[in-house]
Amino acid sequence: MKIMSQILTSVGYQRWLRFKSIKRAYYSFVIILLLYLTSFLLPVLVNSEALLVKYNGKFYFPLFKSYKAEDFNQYVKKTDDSISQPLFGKANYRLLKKQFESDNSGNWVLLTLVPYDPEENLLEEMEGIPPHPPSLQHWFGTDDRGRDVFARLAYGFKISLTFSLLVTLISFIMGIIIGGVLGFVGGKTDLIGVRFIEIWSTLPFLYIIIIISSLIGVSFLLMIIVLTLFSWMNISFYIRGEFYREKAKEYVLAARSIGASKSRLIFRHILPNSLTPIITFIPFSIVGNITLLVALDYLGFGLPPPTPSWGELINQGMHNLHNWWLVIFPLLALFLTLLLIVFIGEGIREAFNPKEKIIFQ
Amino acid sequence: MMSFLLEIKNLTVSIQNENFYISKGSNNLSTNVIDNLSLDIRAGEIYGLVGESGSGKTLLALSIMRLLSEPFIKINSGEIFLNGTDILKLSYENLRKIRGNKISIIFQEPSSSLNPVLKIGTQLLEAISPDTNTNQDKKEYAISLLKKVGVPDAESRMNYYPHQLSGGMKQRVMIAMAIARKPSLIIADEPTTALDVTIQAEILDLLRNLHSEQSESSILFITHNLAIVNQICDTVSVIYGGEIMETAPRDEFFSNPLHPYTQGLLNSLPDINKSKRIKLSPIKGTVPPLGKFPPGCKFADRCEKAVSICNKIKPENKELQKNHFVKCHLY
Repeated sequence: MKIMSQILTSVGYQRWLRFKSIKRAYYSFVIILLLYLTSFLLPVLVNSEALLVKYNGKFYFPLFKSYKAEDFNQYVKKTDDSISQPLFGKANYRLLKKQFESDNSGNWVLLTLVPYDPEENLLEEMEGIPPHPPSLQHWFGTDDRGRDVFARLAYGFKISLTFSLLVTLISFIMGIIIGGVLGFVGGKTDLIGVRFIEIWSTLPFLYIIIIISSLIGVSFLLMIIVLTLFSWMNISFYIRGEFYREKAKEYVLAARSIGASKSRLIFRHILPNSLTPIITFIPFSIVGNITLLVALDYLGFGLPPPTPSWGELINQGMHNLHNWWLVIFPLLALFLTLLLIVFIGEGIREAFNPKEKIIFQ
Repeated sequence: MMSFLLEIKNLTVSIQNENFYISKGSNNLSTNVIDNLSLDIRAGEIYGLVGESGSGKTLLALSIMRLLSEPFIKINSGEIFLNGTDILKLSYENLRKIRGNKISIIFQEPSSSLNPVLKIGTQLLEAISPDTNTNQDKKEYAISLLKKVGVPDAESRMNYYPHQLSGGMKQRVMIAMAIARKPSLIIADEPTTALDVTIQAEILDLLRNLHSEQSESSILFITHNLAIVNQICDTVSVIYGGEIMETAPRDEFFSNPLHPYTQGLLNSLPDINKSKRIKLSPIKGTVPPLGKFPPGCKFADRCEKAVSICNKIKPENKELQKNHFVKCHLY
């Protein structure tokens, strides 16, 4: 009961209530959160591997163990429908399902909701030349290499969001640590540190990415490191200023006057008070990092192919303007994601605003 | 001979000018804000320090705590002895042991002296000695402190945030934090300035009661309000331009002020007994900006009784009667 009342009066809970009362932001938050959590279930929802196979009275779980085609005695039917050759290599469960259905032998395959892999081309199964327009099988069509656009968008969502969350988180932590040290220590450390940051921020980020990607090639991890190294500066400036301001305030003086240690001053008193304005930056920084990754992918300096990425799809749309599904769906996905996150950011900013709520009701 | 709890000897504090970084090393770029100041506080007394804005009262308080924002404001020379140990020579760790334990300070602005994101209770617990008690004991002690300083409903107030309390309540909490470790010296830096008059009286009563409970501890009461000084102080000093002009026991101070500045201060008070028609008689002129004081007596250019020597030569600190010191060429 006591703990409950403590929670109810805490500033954080009040802010959460205020955020919740801003419907647009709250629902955007719920949607993004659900989508992101769902994206961790993608291997069960969007996957070329089947969930369950029953073959000759035994059950197989291809999600956990990879099976060869001969394990299920899979064969390929040629066009004249009479000769069938055994299939080698990995089992293809979509074809296996058709085969079992036509064999009528009591075997069956339970496929995932969208039985396509984002990196798998479907040239052998589909007629005509890719890109294929949307159909019942391929909701958003296929791209110019015959890969399912929906699968690529879904996996791309997870990658984009994870990527920008990580970059935002790490660069914020870096910025807070560096800015905090500069602001708290002050003096010559600050003078020299800020000059270094100024020089560092003038380095042409895009060229460095291009040089790195041509020299050693890029990976998910390397991209995160490089982008983090080039995006912590603004936060550090901000935190440095906040530290300067907060450490001169009387409550810090009062804490020092009762003998509080330096670490206590920093972590207990100054940091929580300087963090508040920073938190409102987070959603906008996430938006920025998603856009950045899409831009780099679009230019071809982003994540290495065949990683499912939105920028690469948008690039395809650019080269295939007459194939409308390659233009509309990636752009729509990007637009909606950014819009929802901006709504969240708006709501957070409003919830943290100590003054009365004016708009967004 | 009476022992002194706090002895300040020839303290000089200076402010660095703006282009401190560029021309570091040359001394003429700093201005003395506290100038060769000496002051003694006996154990158990309430010592009043009166002065106008900008006379260096708060800087003196911060110097004693060593809380000046160095390197821009720093102590150039002098000694501050607390029970015989020189505070200015202490290492950072030893200084931390003195702060809160031996000396504590109550600031002028209670609203900004409490951390807005922490609960009252958390901040009070912080002020209570970290190594003695268990958490439960600490909490009970914190509640008893709150009760002592007159915060009603202390248990639930522990969970309040500063913005949920009024100014007077916040100042009470600050006082509770200041007395938490029973320090031998409490510096009260204009503790009532930010409060309205009725609350002022309550806070003064509280301080007086707390002092009578712990009679061995001293209070350095910094204010610009002579009425408050008259109410609670034992000894009074007047500070002008970073120098102590006159020091006297309270009754002596009000009945027989000797320094022209003190006289001017007392004359400029409105008197309820006099007729309403009489105009207030303020001291002429204003406090000069830092560094623009006359080279001799700092008050010389505003003093009605000034003679030619006043502008050139600094007056000595003379003990005219027992415990009554004056810095003036007239005596």
